Amino acid sequence: MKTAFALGWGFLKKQVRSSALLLGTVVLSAAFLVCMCLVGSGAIHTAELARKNTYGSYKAAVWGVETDMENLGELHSVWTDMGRVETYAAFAGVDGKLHLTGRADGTAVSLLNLRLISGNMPQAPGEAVFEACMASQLGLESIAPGDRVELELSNGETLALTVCGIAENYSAVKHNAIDPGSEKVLFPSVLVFSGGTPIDTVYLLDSDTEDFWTLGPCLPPAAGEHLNTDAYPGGYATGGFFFSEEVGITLGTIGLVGGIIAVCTATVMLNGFLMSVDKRQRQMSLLRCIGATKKQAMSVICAEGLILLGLGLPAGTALGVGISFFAVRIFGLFYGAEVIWHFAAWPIPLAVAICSLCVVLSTLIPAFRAGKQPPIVAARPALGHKRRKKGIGRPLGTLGLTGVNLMLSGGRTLITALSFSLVILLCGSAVLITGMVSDTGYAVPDVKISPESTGISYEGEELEMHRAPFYVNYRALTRHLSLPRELPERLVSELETACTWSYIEPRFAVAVKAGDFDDYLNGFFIYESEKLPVPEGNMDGAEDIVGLPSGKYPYLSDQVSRGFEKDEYLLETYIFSVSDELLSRLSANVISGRIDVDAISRGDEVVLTVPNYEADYSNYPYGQSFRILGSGTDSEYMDGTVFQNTSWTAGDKLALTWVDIDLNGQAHLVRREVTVGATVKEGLSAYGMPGQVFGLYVGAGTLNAIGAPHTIRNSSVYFPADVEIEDGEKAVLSWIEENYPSVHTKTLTEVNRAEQQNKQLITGIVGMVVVCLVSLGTLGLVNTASVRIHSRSHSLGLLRSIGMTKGQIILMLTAESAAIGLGACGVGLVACRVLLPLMEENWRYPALGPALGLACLGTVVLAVATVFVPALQIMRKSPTEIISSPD
Amino acid sequence: MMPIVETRGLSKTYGSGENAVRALLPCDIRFERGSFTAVVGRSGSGKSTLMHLLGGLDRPTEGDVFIEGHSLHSGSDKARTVFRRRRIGFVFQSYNLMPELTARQNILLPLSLDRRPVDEAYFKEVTELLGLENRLSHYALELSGGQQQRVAIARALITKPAIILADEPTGNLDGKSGAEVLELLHASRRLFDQTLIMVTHDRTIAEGADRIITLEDGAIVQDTAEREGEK
Repeated sequence: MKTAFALGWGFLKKQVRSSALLLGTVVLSAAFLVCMCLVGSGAIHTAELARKNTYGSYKAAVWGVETDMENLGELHSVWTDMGRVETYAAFAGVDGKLHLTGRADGTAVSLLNLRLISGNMPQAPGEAVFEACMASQLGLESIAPGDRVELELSNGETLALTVCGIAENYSAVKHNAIDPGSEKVLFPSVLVFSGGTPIDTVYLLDSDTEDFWTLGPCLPPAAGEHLNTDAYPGGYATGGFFFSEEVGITLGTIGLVGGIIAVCTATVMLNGFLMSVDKRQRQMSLLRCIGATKKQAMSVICAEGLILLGLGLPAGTALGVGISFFAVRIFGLFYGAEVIWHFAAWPIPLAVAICSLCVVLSTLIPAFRAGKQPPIVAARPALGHKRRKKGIGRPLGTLGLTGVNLMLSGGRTLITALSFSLVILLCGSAVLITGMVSDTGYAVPDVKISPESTGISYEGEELEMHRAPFYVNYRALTRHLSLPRELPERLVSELETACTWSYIEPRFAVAVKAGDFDDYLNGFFIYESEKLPVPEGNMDGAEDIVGLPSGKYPYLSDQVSRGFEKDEYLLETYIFSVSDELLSRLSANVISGRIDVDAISRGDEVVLTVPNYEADYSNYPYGQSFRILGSGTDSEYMDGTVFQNTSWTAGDKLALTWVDIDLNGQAHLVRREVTVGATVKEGLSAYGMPGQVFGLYVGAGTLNAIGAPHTIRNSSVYFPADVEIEDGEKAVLSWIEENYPSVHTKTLTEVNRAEQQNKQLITGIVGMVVVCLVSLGTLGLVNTASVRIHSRSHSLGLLRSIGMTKGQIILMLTAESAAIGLGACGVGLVACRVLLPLMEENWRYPALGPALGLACLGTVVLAVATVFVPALQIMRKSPTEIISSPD
Repeated sequence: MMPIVETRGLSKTYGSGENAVRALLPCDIRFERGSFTAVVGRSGSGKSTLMHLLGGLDRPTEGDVFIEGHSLHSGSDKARTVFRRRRIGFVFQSYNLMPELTARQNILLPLSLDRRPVDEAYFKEVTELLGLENRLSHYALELSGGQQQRVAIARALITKPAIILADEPTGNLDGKSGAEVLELLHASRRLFDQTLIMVTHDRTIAEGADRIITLEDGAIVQDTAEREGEK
């Protein structure tokens, strides 16, 4: 190997020009690769910082109680498993690792739909959040954060906990009264979080074993959709976050650029080495003659490649680091945002590896060719030339010689032409992308805000889905929302007051005595099917429903077993929590009583909706249709039965009821009475607010005041028609920022601008690619031209000696290079014609033709220009000097 | 006694069909150890072809070459190459030195390829014999023609080959240098008991050989060894 390096180094030193060009190729390739990788790492770093600033350093929360509640069909008290409860918070950080630390407040609250009334989530072992109802269970008058509580467990042990927070009650009865076939479950209260349905249960992260279960089921469905919860808490919020998409595009583009650079490097190096080997045919044969095996001859070429790598990589790396500093600025300029230059270690070994691989691969074929040189060529050089089967009979002029020379070096010519054709293709791509960016389809629209164009509310008529002129981060603020998670410092209750209206999922039922359960209620809740005006023959189907005795209230036995009264129907009604302003707007629909906002807020009164409705039971019991009828609206939807309220009126009492479970697992029935302050014929016409039969409108704090357990499911913004929105998008943005300080909102203007910046980024990257390729391709072309000419110096000298003038020789060489350039143009144009339509359907931009024409012209000019210097160098010598000088 | 080099039916034809050139017709030749054989003939008679086949530089169309009873052309290329660098020294007319290497490096190149350590005493003996001791650090192109040829001879001798094949070693040298080179080859042959087979146009050189083989149009037309045998 020492000999191989000595020979390789000797060869490189001798061929200064071509070696310098090859070295330049390695340097530039390494520089571009390092630069690209550092720009990519800068983009990632910037995105990570931005994401951390927005979402904090945590991605998701895991909060749980039980370690082994694998089968949540079992409805047993959590208290029996208290010994294994770990009241501790666990989060997955952005680094994907689990951190068993606190700071569970905001994120856990927002993710778990837990309503903290006071205090905070547990921050350390030994702390616990108690439901408000636990005070009475513990025999205390009240319970507050800071209290020390000792619990006697069923196994006789004592567990001491510090109360760190108080949560609303979650025990409830839940069933879907609308659809009698739905599952119904009655749950006990739990210590830390809502029991609810299995889908709502949170699994425990065991801090000892760090075992955990999937995060998905513990989130409200809407929130779960927006969090990547397929795996363990390594998933993190996506979407709506500007940088993540950009990082992906940037990295993908950089990968593409790196790949193209690698291909170009390998091509140029391959060409250079091939020409070098061809030029040193006799020397390689001599080596073989002296006694070098094929492998030893190959190792000389490989050693040359390694020497070039050893010299070029450090220089290229240093150059790449320097260039990246400015490249990041350029990216930021295109990007419209600051991209932080961030030195990461990984780009350098990656660039080194890619560059090394390219150089090594590019030496393989030439090395193989070198090894194949028969030793006889050292003694008989003529045997090293390819024998043509048939010579050209007729005399050759200057251009004829050009053709012969091109044919003899077909492979190398093709490689050189292909290198440059890539440049043509990328020029076309750059123009195409630029054209796409400037396409009128991506122009920022001039928007004007009006109440109708908010797309959210419109009184009196059913709303259509308007394309909002402002793009609100729908995960935080939209028609159908989960709780916004970008409120780490705000509690749910505060959010509720800020939201205009919320859909409430009750953890309680409205209990109606059997004697009060009239046809109006039965027509909607269908508890007594025998009372329904069901078409003849349909009654049979009810018997087929498992567990439901035909014609009877199906939940009675469970209800009683859970402790509820046996002479009551438990109704789960639609409940909307609305702002005071919206409560006031209900006044227009009052049938009886009046809207007393204060009484409602205190929890003394509620608003009851008792609209007329039409029902169609033709598909009973498998599906029923209902339509809320406005006053005076005739039935035109279906030929069904119309129900009207005749009994419910203001002043009536409603019983809200639920079951609490005490420390010993005993159920206790709870009842709270509220007064119907007003009945309304229909609810609010807010988008997304369904019609309600026997629904409730309450104020923001009503249910808390009553102490009734509930969950906020949806929160919506409501823009009444008479709201004056001035200054277009700015007014809306300022309103949102004022009311939702942590919510991120972008206008359509900003979205479109972001899209344009994105494409500018891509254009900038493609531009850099073109620069890289032109640089590398130029080096390759210069090297090829130089070697092509110098390797033929002997034959050029002969031509001169027999009478060919300098001008004729230069014409011949120029024609050769021009032919290569034109060949490159042809291949490049064909590639453009094939590939550009795949990128963009409407690819024929006006600028494309001139741009490609310029690229082709530049290619040919460059190809010709690279010939002149070496040609003139040779022509300066006399024919004798040329002939007698060693190859 | 077994000849050191023997050819059996050795022939070489270049090309095929109408363009075929029979450079060497089938020949059977035996070369004795330590002998000096001159191969003469006009240009194109097949002299160099014979030398190349004897040295394993080229493959015969038919026949084989046996060196110390070992078939040269029946093995693999690698085997032939290794055998050549260990047992055969080549001296070309055009020196054929590596211009990127110094004289010393050129001389030691066969040893480097064979991964053999340098016998510094032997190296000194050869270089002193050839008068190169003050030129070892010079690159090949910095030497005169005679010096380059001496370097080439030293390279051929460094592996202590049994056979030296010299293809017109004095062809590019002036008379004085040529005579010096010739004398060195003889001295080496005597000193190291080597077999010298030399292609030459020079009748004077040929007449100094133990044996003269004359080739014409690829065939042996005269072999003084046979004539003496007849005698």
